Amino acid sequence: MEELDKVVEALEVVERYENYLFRRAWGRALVTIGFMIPLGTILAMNAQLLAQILGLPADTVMLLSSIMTVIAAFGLIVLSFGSAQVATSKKHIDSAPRGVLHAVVIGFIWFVAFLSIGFVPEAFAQVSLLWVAGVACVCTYMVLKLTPGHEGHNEILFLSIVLLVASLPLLAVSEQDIAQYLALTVFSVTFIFSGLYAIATSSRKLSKTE
Amino acid sequence: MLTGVVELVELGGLKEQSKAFHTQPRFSIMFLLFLKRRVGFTELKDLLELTPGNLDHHLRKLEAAGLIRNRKILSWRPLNMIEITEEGAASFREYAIYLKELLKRIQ
Repeated sequence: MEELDKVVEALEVVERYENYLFRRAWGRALVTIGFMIPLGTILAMNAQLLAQILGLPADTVMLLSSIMTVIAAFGLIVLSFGSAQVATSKKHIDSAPRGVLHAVVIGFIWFVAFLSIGFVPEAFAQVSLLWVAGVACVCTYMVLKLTPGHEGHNEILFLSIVLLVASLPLLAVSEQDIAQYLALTVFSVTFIFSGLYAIATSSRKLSKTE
Repeated sequence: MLTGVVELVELGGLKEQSKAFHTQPRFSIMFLLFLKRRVGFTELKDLLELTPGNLDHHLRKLEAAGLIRNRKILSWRPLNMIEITEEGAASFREYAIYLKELLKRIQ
């Protein structure tokens, strides 16, 4: 039936568009993390100085910077995925709705990952951010790989490998402050680069051949 | 069974306007816009694998029928956004109901 062929073809178009939006949103989320987390950490590391300027206790400044970082990063990521979310899951007729379980699981993984930074032994404190982010990336990659329609986000796996490998030479840096700033730089550069790569290649999802 | 389908196709009861999206690319454009409300010109071109001129031709047909509108948005680069009109959404909804009826008759 010609009419049904039209519907099937149109459904494929919608599916490709959703995949494009998801990849673009994922790229934006990585760029957001790459900017916000190091910024918040730098603010927290310089809480003493900021406290003097603002006339507030250092603990308050540290707490405020952490809360504001989490809220801003989380808000921007939710906004990014929210604007990409297509209200079509209930309208799909040829496939099961994708749901949001994978998003909840990924959110939980990252929450637990950043929470566990405090439990990394003191000797490895300077690279703890890279390690937890690397492990969280591996877990995220696996969740996406198991989620139908969201396979193929290989840049997240590469990101985790880069984070974990780059952390090794930092262990040799004896100066704690320098090591922390280097770790933040590696974190920021790798996340922003991966995010920009995901955004730049998202348009590939639009074509039939992808 | 087939008689029912023929009756439905012949009677249709659809607005003249909906005939503007009976061809495949226009149907896909309307379907996507019905779900998303607005889509960029470049994204549409890549999705449907049409040349800019060809897509423009289809969009003009839909625009002439009052189903969509073309908006220029100033972002970090000028964007051509295609939006579905209220009339377009209503017309497409009506067509979707018609297709649903058609399916029911086949079953």
